[in-house]
Amino acid sequence: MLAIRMLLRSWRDEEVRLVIAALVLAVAVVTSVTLLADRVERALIAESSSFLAADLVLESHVPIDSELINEAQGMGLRTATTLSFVSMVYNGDRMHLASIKAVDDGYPLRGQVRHADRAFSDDPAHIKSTNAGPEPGVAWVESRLLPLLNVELGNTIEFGESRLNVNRILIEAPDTGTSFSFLGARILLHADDLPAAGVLVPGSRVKYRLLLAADGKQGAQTLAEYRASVQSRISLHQRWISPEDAQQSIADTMQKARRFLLLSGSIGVILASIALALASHSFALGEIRQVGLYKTWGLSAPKIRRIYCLYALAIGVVGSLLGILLGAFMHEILLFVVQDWLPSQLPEAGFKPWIIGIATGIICLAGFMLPSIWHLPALPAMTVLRKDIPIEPVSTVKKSAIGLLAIAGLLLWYSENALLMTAMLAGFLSTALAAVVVGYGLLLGVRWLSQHLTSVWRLALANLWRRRLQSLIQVLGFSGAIALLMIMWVLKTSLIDEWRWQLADDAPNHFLVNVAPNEVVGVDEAMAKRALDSSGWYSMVRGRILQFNEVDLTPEQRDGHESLRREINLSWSKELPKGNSLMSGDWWPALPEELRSQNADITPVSIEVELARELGLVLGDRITFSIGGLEFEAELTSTRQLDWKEMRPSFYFLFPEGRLEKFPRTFMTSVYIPSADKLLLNDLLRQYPTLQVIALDKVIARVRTIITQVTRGLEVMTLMILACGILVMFAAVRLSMSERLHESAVLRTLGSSRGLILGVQLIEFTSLGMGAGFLSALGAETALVVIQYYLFDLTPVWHLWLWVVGPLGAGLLVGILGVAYSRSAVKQSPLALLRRL
Amino acid sequence: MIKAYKISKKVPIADTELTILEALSLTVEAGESLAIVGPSGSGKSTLLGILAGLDLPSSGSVHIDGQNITAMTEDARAEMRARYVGFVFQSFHLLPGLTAQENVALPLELRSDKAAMDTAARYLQRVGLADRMTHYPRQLSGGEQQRVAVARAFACQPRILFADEPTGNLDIVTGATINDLLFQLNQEEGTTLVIVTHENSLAARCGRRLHLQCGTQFTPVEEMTVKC
Repeated sequence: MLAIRMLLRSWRDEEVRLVIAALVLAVAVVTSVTLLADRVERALIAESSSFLAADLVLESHVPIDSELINEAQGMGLRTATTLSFVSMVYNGDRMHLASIKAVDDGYPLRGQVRHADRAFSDDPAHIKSTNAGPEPGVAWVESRLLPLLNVELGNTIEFGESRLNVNRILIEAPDTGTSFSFLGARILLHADDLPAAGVLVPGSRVKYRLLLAADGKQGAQTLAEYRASVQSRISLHQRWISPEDAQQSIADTMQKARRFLLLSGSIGVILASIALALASHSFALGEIRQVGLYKTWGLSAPKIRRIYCLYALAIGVVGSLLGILLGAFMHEILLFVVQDWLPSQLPEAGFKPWIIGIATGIICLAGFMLPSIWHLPALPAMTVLRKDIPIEPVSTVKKSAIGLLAIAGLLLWYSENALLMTAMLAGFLSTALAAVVVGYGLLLGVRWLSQHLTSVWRLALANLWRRRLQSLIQVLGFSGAIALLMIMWVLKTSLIDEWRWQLADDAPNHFLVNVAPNEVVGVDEAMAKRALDSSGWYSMVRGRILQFNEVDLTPEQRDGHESLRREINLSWSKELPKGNSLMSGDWWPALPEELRSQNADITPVSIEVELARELGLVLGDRITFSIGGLEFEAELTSTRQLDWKEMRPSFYFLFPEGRLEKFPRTFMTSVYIPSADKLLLNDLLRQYPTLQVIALDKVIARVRTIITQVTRGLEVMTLMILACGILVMFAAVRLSMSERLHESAVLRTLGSSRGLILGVQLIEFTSLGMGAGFLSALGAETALVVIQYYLFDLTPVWHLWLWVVGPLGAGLLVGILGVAYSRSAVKQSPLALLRRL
Repeated sequence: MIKAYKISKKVPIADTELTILEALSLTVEAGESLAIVGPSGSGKSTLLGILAGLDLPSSGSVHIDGQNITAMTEDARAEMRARYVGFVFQSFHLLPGLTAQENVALPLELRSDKAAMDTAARYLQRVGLADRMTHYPRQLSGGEQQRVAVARAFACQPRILFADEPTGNLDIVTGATINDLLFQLNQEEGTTLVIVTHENSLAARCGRRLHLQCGTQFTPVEEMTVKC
């Protein structure tokens, strides 16, 4: 009770308010981040389950043993089976090699099948989502099959020995994935139709899938148990697919997002902890006299310790409770801001975020406040009578070690990733170490400078040296905060930049391939009629690599790389195509005459830089190609980097004009087709049956939705982290404030003007800020290299702006903050100030 | 009430020792008022701290109410202070975040006194601050703050009150009011009063006055001849 009364009364103390504010922010940041991460992650997992149409899939090239299915059902799992294969479908004399998926009644276990009653329509009025596939006797087909077979909805098609009624247009099946097929149009039908059709014979290439789903709280565990129990019976032809590897790109995004969320959370906690430590230090300084009083009133050291522990506990409980309330509120705001982008119904969060929030508060308190106040009960009672009594607080080394331990524990707990924890701590420690070493060097420089300068500057800089321990602590606090903000900002921008390409609204969303040379004009006209712009036509020839430097490829070499096993697309271009940049060598005009000549035996070739590296090719190497049985030799004259994100046709191998034209070739292009113009595809496919369409629009839309959800959330989160950073600034300035006020009062009684005092403060704080900014650039750059390279697979780059914006921004911010804070020193009369202190 | 026998206080300074007090002996009777005067640095405050059991002498002993407090553990001394001792300080030592009433009530609350706030109100009334109970120290004048401190000291009903330069931070008129208050309460409560002061007027009102010379020797003020 006393502790709570003390807390209520001490609420008016600025230090206590800072301590509580730091605690509340630490808890709030973590709670909001984990609440959001938890709910979005649950939503994403649910969504990626729907990519699989299940929570777990067993894929097999042989029929799946019914024993496995029975066992799953016995354990309470829901099951469904699917078979995928390609098969010919007919309508009279028209035929098409279609991608067939046969499903049973249980399909899909997760997600919904979207189908329409009109071909090539995006109109929601025509689209329905259901939790079931087609009934026996009917087929749901992709729009493009209708023109290919020249059928309408309601007609029948021949499928092996049987006929199926085409009664719906298949828009999207949950487990279609994004691995679009060059092959036929997709058809969804019921597995019961397979025996009658007789299309499957022993030896048919069929992909069998056992879909598994588990509901309820124990679901994940049951799945894991099932997986473990049947693992020994899984053959080489079978493999597990879980939501995470079902959709690799989505899984990557999820992982990056989760790490980023955790990283932001940790940064917030570290910042708030720095603020907490600084504020607790100020608090402890202010309590010295109080402890002396307690002692004169007859309180023993254990009783005083109990009072402070209870007091700290009261602060911890109140701070943590306020923190999780604020965190829940902030997460609601986050959800509100991004509500358009999130699924309409996010799953409820589990209890873990709340526990993480409260535990964070308690651990921060134990790691950062308790060490600062631990020595208080042992203070000599004489401190009430004399100010010169030596005080022995817990040593800075011990305090730092305890704090680091607390942070390391929290980071490890949040991320369950030792590397992430180590990288964060490395950045933090390198900044701290550099701050101490370089900071001390800077202070030495400042001392030297102060001896050669005039009044205001001399006074200000001499102050920095005189208070060098405090200055170092402040530089440490500032630079830690600023470095973490920098890391946060760089990661956020580089991650978002990396994703942004997917957000371009008019990026081509369809590829048209396999267009015969005589069809190009017709397709162009059809597009022009609808005012669609293609990215230009690219011719391509299919060829195979036979030799490197006149030596035949070994079987090992062929097995080692996909491009050596199969036919590859070769193309030619006079100019360096858009989205290509030359990495080494020269483009055609700069090549020697003997290579440029159309009659030369050897033709120059340009290769994509990554591929050249993977194949071990360097400029000057010879490659022998075979196209339709004709061999020719090429010399590697340049490497190019491709920007795949442009969504335009790009080629690994490019030749000059005039070398490949003699071979049979086809054309391809990419084009943005708005949904209103999708009927174009119908016309094109009717007119040019051999033309192939790869539709990326649905893939792009889905990726875009998820990415936008995540990035919008991250922006709001950055603001919360910024609040923590500002708190550190306040706590650090507060640390030296009473001494500064005292000095300014003395200076003013000695006749110094307000301008002089503010000038001294401005120079002092600005110098502190600039030093801290410089140090934080150093620390941030170090940590970024580690984080970008090892965690996000991004190429580390030098961030010059950090070194400019860091010192200038920090100098300005800390300078303004410090002066604003110390204005009270010149507003009040010196006497009032002296009396107050 | 208080008996000090040959107390010395030495503190290490660099390689040597600084002697603050040396072989001082002193007796204070119950209900007596004693003023300790002396120049700055003569060791008055150190002596006060040792007499009150806030600090230990390097040698010698202090007895309060017959108990040797120098032989006690720190916790036992704390217990003894709780039962016997009250303090008034030169710089008041009020907690800025607490109102006048809360400041007076705090030491009582620490003793789990349920009537702490009522007792505090009663003592504030006795020092003439009935209408300032909800005011914070910064809203009070120096004299008023010291009156709160005096109320706080007497509210615990100590048998001995130690005062360290109680009027040192106050002007003469205000100082005189505080002095009146100290002696009035001293008489009403029957408290033993030990005051360290520079003020002759305050010292003059005490039953006995001792002049501390360089921490080594007491001289009754009336017979002051020895110079440091």
